[in-house]
Amino acid sequence: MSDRDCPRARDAEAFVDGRLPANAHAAWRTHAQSCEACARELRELYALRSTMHALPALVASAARVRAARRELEGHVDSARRRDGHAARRNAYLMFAVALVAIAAFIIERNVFRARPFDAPTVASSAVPDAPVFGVANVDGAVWESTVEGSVARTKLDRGVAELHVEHLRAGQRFLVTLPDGELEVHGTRFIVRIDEGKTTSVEVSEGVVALRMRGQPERFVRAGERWPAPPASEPTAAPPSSLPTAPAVVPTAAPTTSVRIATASASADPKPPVLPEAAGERYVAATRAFQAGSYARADALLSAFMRDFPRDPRCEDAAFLRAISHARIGDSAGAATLARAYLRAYPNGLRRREAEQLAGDR
Amino acid sequence: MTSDALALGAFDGVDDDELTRRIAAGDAACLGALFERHQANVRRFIGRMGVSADDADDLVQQTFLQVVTAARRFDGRATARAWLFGVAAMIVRRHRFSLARLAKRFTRWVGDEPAAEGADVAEAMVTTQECARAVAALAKLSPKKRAVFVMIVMEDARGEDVAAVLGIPVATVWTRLHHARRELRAHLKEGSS
Repeated sequence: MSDRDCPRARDAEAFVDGRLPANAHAAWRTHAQSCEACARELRELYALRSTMHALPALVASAARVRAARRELEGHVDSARRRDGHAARRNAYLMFAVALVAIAAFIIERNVFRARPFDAPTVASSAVPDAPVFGVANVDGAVWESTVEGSVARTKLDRGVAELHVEHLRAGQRFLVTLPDGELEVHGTRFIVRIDEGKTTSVEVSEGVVALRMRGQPERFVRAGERWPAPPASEPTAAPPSSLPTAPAVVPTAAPTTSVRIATASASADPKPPVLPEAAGERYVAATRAFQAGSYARADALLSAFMRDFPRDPRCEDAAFLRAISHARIGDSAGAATLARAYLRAYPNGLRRREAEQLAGDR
Repeated sequence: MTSDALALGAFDGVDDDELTRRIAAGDAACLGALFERHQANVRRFIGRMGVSADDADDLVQQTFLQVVTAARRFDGRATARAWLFGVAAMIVRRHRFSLARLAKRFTRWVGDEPAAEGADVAEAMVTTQECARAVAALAKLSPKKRAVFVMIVMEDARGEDVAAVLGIPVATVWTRLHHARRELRAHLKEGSS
């Protein structure tokens, strides 16, 4: 190789390719003029380039070039048309998918979720003083809700419905009229099942409801309890012999799995109403005394209950029971006074008509 | 349409880089202009890469069709001419792979050896003894060395442009070029002795 004769011959390629800096380029040119090895290397590189440049190149005729250009443009145009068709097809496909999605959404909203909780039957915004509640169809429920002032009433005729009531303020009431009784609730969530005109079960998941079945004493069904008890379970307490036999209320192991648990509305209080255990015990003791016929004792216990728990929702019932207790003792005047007190405190109370009779207003 | 625009010289003042950018933006008329300007360069490059005259038309066509999609990646670092050589080199490489696959299948079928790669090139180009030796020497280069040698020595592309279009470092370009020259000179000396 030439660079064995002169070490600078290896720069010949860089010189030919124009890779050397300007001053080095000029210096190498000067050197090659006096160095036989570098001059020979340079000649061979130029000769190689000349040989390769002399190779015949592929050349197309003008006609061939024109034809090739037309062909190229034809390819591009057809590709564009294909892209356009594909884009339109994709647009139609997307439109169809969107239609199907909308249809599915509408069907799901209207068929599978007949009455969602996020659209409560009566909203507090519609009637300012009314309770905020929602009724959802679980299985073939038929109901009608009405609001009068601060009292909301839902008449449930048949089927299974899940109800949710936000915590009630003072004076607010929420009642469920059943074919064979009624329910009064105080900030709760529960499921009512009615079969063939009879209430067959009440399950409470939050709070407490007062269940008043026709011909039966009032009973409370609390969170986690179900009325009536399943056939296999034992009753929790024997009813007083003087009262008609009624199904017992027993705790449920878990919420019914077949029931969809709806979400509460955004303004809902996540906590159930606070019911101190002492209040519950005191009230139960008072009602038991009343059911046992110990009306004087019942009156005392109810009076103490109302004094100690004036905000308890059961105070309304306590007030009415006090009036009844006095009436049964034979204290008509006292009964009338207590009935009038009841009507003043609860002008829209559930026992309004009976209280008016006791008060002698009718 | 495109041909009318070309006939009227609508793209005379538009340089290659701008044409390529317009093609990337979807202006099909510019593709015709770019084809008019560079089809001869691309055809020559493809021939020097060892493609026969019969296949050259198709490969030129494929190169410019590829430009429609590849133009989006044109960043202007290399000249449009060198960039076209890069696209053509890729098309030639694909062509060579498909030919090799076809030859392999054919060989298996007939039980014969495939023809030498440079044979058809020689058939198309050889006019003199010296040319025949040069074509044979060129055909013996590996495709990578041959692409670099053809672009720089025969098409006068810049080393930096070749590095950009082939996606390799500039130093690698010079290394490949050095080895290509050495091998070519050795083959040519063997042929003449």
